[in-house]
Amino acid sequence: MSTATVAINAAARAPKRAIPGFGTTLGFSIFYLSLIVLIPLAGVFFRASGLGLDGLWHVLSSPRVLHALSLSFVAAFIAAAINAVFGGIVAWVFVRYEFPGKRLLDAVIDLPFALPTAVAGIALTALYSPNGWIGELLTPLGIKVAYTRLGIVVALTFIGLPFIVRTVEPVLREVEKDLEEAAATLGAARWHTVSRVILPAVMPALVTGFALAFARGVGEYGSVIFIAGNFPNLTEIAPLLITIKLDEFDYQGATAIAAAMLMISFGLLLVINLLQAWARKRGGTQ
Amino acid sequence: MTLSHSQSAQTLPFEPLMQRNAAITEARWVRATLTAIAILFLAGFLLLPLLSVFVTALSKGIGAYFASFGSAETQAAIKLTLLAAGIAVPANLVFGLSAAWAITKFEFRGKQFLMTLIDLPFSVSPVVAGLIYILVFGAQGWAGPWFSAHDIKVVFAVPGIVLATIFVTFPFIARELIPLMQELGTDDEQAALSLGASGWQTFWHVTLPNIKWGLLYGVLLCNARAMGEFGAVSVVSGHIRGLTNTMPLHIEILYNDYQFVPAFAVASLLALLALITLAAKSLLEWRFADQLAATRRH
Amino acid sequence: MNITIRDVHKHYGSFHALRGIDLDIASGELLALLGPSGSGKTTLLRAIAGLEPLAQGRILFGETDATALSVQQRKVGFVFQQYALFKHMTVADNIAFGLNVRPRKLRPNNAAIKQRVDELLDLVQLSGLDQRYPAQLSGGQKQRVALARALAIEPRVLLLDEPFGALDAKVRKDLRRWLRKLHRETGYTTIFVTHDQEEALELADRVVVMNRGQIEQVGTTDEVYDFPKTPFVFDFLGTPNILPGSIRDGGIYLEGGSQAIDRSERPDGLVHLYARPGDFRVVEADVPGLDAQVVELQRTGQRVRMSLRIAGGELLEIELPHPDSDNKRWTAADSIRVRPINFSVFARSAAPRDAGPEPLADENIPGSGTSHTVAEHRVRGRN
Repeated sequence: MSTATVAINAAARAPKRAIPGFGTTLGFSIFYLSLIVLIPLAGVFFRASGLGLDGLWHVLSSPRVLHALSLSFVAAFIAAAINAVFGGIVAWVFVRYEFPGKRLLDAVIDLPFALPTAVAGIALTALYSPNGWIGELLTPLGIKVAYTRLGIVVALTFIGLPFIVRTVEPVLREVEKDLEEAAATLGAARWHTVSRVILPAVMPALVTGFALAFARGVGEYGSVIFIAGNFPNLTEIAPLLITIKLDEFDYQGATAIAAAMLMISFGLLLVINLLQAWARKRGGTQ
Repeated sequence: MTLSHSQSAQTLPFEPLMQRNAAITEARWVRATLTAIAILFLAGFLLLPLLSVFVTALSKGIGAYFASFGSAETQAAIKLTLLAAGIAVPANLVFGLSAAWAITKFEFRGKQFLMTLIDLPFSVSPVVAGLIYILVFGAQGWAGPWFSAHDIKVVFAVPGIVLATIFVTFPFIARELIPLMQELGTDDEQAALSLGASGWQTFWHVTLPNIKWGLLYGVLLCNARAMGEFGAVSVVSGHIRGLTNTMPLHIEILYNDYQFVPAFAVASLLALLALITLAAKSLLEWRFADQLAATRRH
Repeated sequence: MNITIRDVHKHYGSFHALRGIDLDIASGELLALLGPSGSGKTTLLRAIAGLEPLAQGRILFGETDATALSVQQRKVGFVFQQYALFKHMTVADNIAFGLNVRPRKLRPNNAAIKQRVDELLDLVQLSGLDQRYPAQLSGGQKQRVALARALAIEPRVLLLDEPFGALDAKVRKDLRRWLRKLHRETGYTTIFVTHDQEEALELADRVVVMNRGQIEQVGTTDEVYDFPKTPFVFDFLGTPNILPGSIRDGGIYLEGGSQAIDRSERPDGLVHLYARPGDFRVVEADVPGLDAQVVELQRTGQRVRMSLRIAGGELLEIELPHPDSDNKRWTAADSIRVRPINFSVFARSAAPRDAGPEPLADENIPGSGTSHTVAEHRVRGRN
């Protein structure tokens, strides 16, 4: 066979893409994703749609469910807000200042990612119970944390902290020194530079971090159930109510709550994505 | 000596990154106050809970601590946790590599959507993650009757625990690899292929060495999360002592039985695992800062 | 506003970035700080702005001592190399920033700010783009927004750090012309930093050539180009040939030549003779000069660049009109005799060759020398 023929044959069968493995990897990824995530998740909505709107409403409008859902969302919102402030300060201090022990503390910030939620739950409960290290100090002041809604906020603050810090840190690090110097040469006092130049630049990241912490907090279970005390209509969170309904074999009820939580979470996810797209477009490095 | 437009060499090589002049930093008292707030907040919220785990575990002495691991139920819980992580991590590793390859080496429609779907498990409550498997495989689920007819138990058994663990840790490795591999681009792979390497050889000799630290980091995080998962596993496990209890579930049982020392002793093992994960991560970041820089977001 | 700089020093750790700078800048002047990377030019500019705290020295704006003033108090218009536009603000908000952050008492009302922004947009020829974000602008447009923003605060002095560094060649040329015009119209005292000698010589009223944290020479384009005070300045403003030679009994001798090529008042000793490629002429065999062989030649339109090998094996780069007045055309391997007709002489120890940077552009060949006689007054060195 002449070389010319070989060349022509090779060209005739030339693959569409230079790098191999497109079909295999994409095919496997989609298959695995469908099997593990999409099909089972679709099951919830399938089940929920079986209830009909009336059925859904019947479950969700019961005072206990409403209370649990609103508690989960409000507590997660407050915790995310606390983290937005303190996590923002932590990110600022870590990016801008030097202090002894910084590297060690920096490693510890990710602890809530790595520490199992159940461990965090019992540890926080031990700390904040009336005879715990912190509870001991707070009890004389009349502040009760363990087995109250405040305890839930504490647990969700613990869980959400790294989301804010790790989202804001890289963006803050990228704020160019030039921008701050430019503001200073234009006569801006330091406070103006921070509030009008730096804060707007990191705001999209802060909001994204807030949304991530909030979404995580809404669904959080392990760290909360130990410290919450789980009194119905008082400190009972939505995920716990799902497990209670399951234990009672009330699959309809569990599904209805789960569907409501999923919808709200997906809504949040959409908002996060839109926010990021908006920030990209506006801060544009096109 | 070369002249370049982009750098003003007067300031670059001699000025440490952190040295900022008075024009763009805060007054000393502001810096001190903010630093103090940050340290106190981190110490109170992160270090104290961590410390309390070990202190409580050792509160009755070292003997009581080690005796905690003697019970058959505790040992069964440790074994089940290792098994679940031992299956979930490799499964997600294969998926992570495969998804990252497809997403970063090729252009196709719906890529952004696929990435959003991969992130889905992050935004699903662990309890809901457990619930979905009950709805599929449980006695009243769609696939339930078929599985029970074939005498395969998924829910309230080990397969359910493994599935729930896989779900919860699903995005970890893919999320580490995608930004990293995006940053690396495809030039190296194209060079290798043009030199006659096969697809596998290219992956093994060119891609893998470039991403190994990011990959290791993803595996570590995935593993820590797999061993520590509580909510999802709790829903599908059925809490059968000695059979379907993982370590986190066992902690709950011990804690609710007021067996604080054993509960915190088992917790201390998981806390230790978390510390090792964090230490390894920090070590990787200090040594391979550039490579991991792209992957710092979770 | 005139600016006075006295004995300014700046250290970065052990690195001495500015070593005793003295400079007087006249009101309304357009001044270039020219030098290679690391020469201290940007540091000096930032010191004037108050962005670099000084170890020693004073900076006066007019009669006011500005040394102790903060950046905010100095009221300088600083244009950053990468523009430093606020990405989250529109063009209009960027320009208005310096007015908006003033204390309430000093702040113009909104209508006045808007009017000022419109005027400035008009001045920098960006009317109609006020609601764009920086990401939607080209490099040249960003540069002009940065300039308008700096002008908005009616600065005492306009400081530009490598104003054209980030732009491509075409835009750079246009913007240069435009900046010159703008300076004429507004009359601000303007200092800009550049490492491009062509830019400095074309744009500035006076050029400050800097090297290693010191000022080598200050002067008009003609002064620094025609009468470089130091080997460094000569080297930086062209691609000179450096020929070893000596001074004996009031005559300048090139190494390997037996006849003095010119007279000199300097004391006897070893020297280096600096001469640009265009400052050589071909001479007859009986005239003092250097015998050389053409190694390579390259025709560029009306001129020819030649590499010559002189006795001792060194290469000499010269440039001649082509064909020359005698209609002579050169070819490779021709033997010729050349003589530098414009040159500077520096004592040998004062000219460490590695002190100079690689020249940036080699287009700055002076027009074919007007004089065929050596100007004795140019022969001055640094002892």
